[in-house]
Order: sequence, then structure tokens, then C-alpha cells
Amino acid sequence: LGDQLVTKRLVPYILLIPAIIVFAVLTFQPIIYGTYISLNKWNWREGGFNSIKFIGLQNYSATLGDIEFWNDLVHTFYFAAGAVAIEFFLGFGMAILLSQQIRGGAFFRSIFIFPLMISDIVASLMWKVMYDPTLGIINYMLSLLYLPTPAWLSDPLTVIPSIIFIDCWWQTGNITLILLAGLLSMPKTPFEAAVVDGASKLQTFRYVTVPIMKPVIIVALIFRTIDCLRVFAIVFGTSFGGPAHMSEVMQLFIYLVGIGRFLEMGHSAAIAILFSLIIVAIVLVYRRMGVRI
Amino acid sequence: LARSLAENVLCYAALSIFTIFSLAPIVWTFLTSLKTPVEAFSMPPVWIFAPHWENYLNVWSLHDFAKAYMNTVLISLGATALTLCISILSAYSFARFKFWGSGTFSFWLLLTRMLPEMLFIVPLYVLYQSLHLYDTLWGMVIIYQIYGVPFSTWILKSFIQDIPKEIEESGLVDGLSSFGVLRRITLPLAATGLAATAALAFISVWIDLLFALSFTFTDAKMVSVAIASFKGYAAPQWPLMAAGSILAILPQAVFFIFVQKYIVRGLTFGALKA
Repeated sequence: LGDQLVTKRLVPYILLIPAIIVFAVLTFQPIIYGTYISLNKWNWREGGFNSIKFIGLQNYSATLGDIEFWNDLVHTFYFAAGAVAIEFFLGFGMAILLSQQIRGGAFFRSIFIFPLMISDIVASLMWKVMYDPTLGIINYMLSLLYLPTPAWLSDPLTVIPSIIFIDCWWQTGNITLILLAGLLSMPKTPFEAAVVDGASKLQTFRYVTVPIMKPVIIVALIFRTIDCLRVFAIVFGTSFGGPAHMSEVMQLFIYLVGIGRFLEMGHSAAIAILFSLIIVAIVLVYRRMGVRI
Repeated sequence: LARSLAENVLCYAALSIFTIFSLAPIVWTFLTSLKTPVEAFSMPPVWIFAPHWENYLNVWSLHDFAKAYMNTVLISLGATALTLCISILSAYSFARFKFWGSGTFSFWLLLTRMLPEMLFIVPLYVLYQSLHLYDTLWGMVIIYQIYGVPFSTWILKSFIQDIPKEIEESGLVDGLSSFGVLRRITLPLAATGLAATAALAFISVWIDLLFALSFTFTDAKMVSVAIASFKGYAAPQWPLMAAGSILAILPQAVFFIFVQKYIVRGLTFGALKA
């Protein structure tokens, strides 16, 4: 009987073995190895494995003293803050409308989901064609209304807002769906109590809906914030960080320093680790807000 | 709760505007994919034209688009199959057992989902070069497990937790082992959840750009990279680019009706069920 009990306690661990192998080899190992690489001067072009040279924390000090790093960090947060804010308000609005059990709600819901299924690189090419300053449909329609027709993706002032707009098209449905699921699963009693107390619609929303929805809102915001900070394909497919690095974001920066252009493995590993620490810090802050996820 | 007519009108107006906003780029791309180069960039737009379906044939035979497409089908299928085999076991473990370290490990899986791709790409690029996995189909199938396993584990865990534990306990009483219960009782009951997870995992591989760009060159080139290489195209090549884009969203269009019921689980890592 004792043997059986031991075997039984081992079952969950045995089930986890394949996942642990994947985690150890593909997640843990690269983080450790990447940390080691980040302590070296290593240009892959200068003879592959043989050109590695230990330099301690110099890659980190170089990164922290690099104005490009801070600029790209600002671009990344500018993009993420803009995209998450607009998607949140637009998505919450749409979720509230869809939660009213209106006729055709399922139809609208399906339409709003569809952009989510499209890859970011395809989305960026679709929009790049429409954004074209002289031949694109957007500027054509603006010209019909006698409005200014900026060179969206090649003007330093409009490039990040233009990319934010693409992301809003792509992912507003994400927030809509999550918040709609939350709205539809809310208990009825607090709302009945609010009606009895004579609360207005706005008061009900502010003092009943929002507090009940808080955990769901935080879940939606965590995933969207992190995914926006990791933005790559939308920028890669449209402005490629231009004009003159004005829309370069963190993952594109790391890609170009590393395998994309300069093949500075040590330097790019160091930037990747610094950026990952920022992301982990944000995850932990959200976790502190009281959501078990 | 009764709504006034004005409220109804406003509600439908807002929903309709957002519907047009959501559909317009896709419709525009589809129209462009059927135009001649001159029609594609003439303003005011040409609304009535003879559809040029041959744009699709032309993009298919362009460079290695067809090869990249078929590579992506193989890699997505292979990666999804491997992910499911691994995740069924880990999801069952997290869903049904209380054991030391389960909370820590499942949090690590969640954290992996949040970490930027480039953290893994630089060191794995070196590893892949030395193991000759760079630019191979197998290499790509393996690389997508980084995000595939955490994602599918969490989603499947939520599906397995939906199945009442009592049904499984009756299997144990009948003398089945833990693995017997998983195979004979849990998996058949979670069949829809498995299919949904598979579809979501497939799409997540299909739409990836960063790993494909970093770990493939010619032999294992993927469709997202082929699409990305269109970005330098000038206006006369827009119809080809549009046709390629439409081909690249076909699998999602096929899965769409089935997947849309489960997409909230996918978006929230199984935290919310729609």
C-alpha cells in the first residue's frame, strides 16, 4: 500500500516531465545563456563562435548610456499607452452596447472579432497601402473633405499615432470581447438594489459596474499592455522604425542590433534582458493590484 | 429595461460605424487583390471593374510564396500536434492535482507568455546555428513550443476544470489508473476544448513573424516572411501584395466560425470563459 501511495504522489510530476523539458531547454536555458552572452563582446560576423570576448557589464553600461535606447523606450511606451487607452475606451463602449441584448448582437460581435484573427504583418501591409500619401484611399477621402493630407508613415509627428491607429483597428475587439464576457457574467442583485435606491444610469455604472468589473478590466489591461510593449510586426511592416528612428520600438531595436543587422550578440542580449526586466516589473505591479493571474 | 427610440438609434449607429471601421480594410484589400495595377491606385477609386483572379495565381507562383505557404502549413500542424501532446499532460496535472511547486511552475508558464520574443531569440539563434536547426522545419516546430506550451497548458487546464471531477472519480472506482482516466474519460469529454485549443495554437503559429524572420532563410521560409518581403512594393504591385494578404488569412477565415466561441479563453489565458 505504501508503494502505491508514493506512485500516486508522483503522478502529477510525471505528467509534467515533457513540459518541464520544454521549459528547461527553450525558456530557462536561453535566459541563462543569454545572460552569459550579454557579458561578452561578441560580433557574430567576426568568425562565429571564436570571436566571443568577456567584457563584464560593459554592454549594460553602454546600453544605459545610449540615447537610442532611451528614445526607443519612449517610443514603445508612447505607442503602448496610446493604443491601450484608445482600445480600452472604445472596447468598453462596444462591450456595453453589445451587453444590452440587442437584436443582431451576435452578428456585430463576430465582425468585431475578425480583425483579431488577422496577423499583425498582414494588417500592417493592408494599412500601409491605405496610408499612402498620394495614392492611398485615406488621403483621397480627406482631400474630398478639404482636410490636410499628411504623409502618415513618413512624418515624424504622425508616424506613431498612425501605427497606434492600426493597432486599434487590430485589437480593440480583444478588449471588447474580454469586457463583454465580464459584463454578461455579472450578478443581477447589485443592479436591482441600485434601481431600488434610485441611482441614475451613470451612478450605477460608476459605483456598481466598474467595481464589479475591476478584476476583468485588469486582466484585459495586463495582456494588452504587455503585448503592446512587445510590438514588432506592425512597425516592421509599415515604417520600419523610420523616419530617422522616430518610430523605432524596443523589439525592433534589439532585433536590428542583434541578428537583424549588426549581429552584435552580446549587446542585443543585454538590451533584451533590460527590456524583459521592465516587463516583469509591470507584470508584478499589475499582480499587486489584486488579481490572481 | 425599456430603451427609448433615441437610445436605440444611437446604439445601432455606434455599432454600425465600428462595423464599417472593422471591415473596410479587409474589403478594400480584397477589392485591390482583384484589380489591375492601374485600377489599384487610381483615385477616385474604381468600384466597378472586371475581377482579375489571376492575381492569385501570379502571387502563388511568385518567387517562393507557394513554398513558404506549404512550409507554414507543415510547421503550424507539426508545432500544434507537439504542443497538444505536451500540454494535455501538463494541463491535466495542474487541473486535477494539488502538489508542491504547482503554483510556482504555472506562474512561470504565465510569465513566459509575457516575456519579449527577443529574450529567447538571440541565445537560441546561436544554439540553432551550432545544432544545424537553423532554417529547418523541425527547428521551427520546436521553437514554437516556447509560447505554445504555456498557452495551451493554461487554456486546456480551464477546459479540463469545466469537467465535473465526480465523473473521473467514478472511473477510478471502476479500477482505471490515472492515465486510464485521462485517456478514456477526460479527453473524450474535453474533445471540443481540445479542438478549440488546437485551432488557437495553430493560428498563433500561423501569424507569427518574429521567430520566422529570425530562424528561417530559404529552406524553411514561412508565409509571414514572404508577406513581409512585399512591404517594399510600389503601387503597381499592390494587387499582388493584396492577393498574398488574402491568401495568408484564409486559414483563420476557415477556423473563424468555430474559434470565435472560445477566443476569450485564448485572449485571457483561460482566466475568463465567454
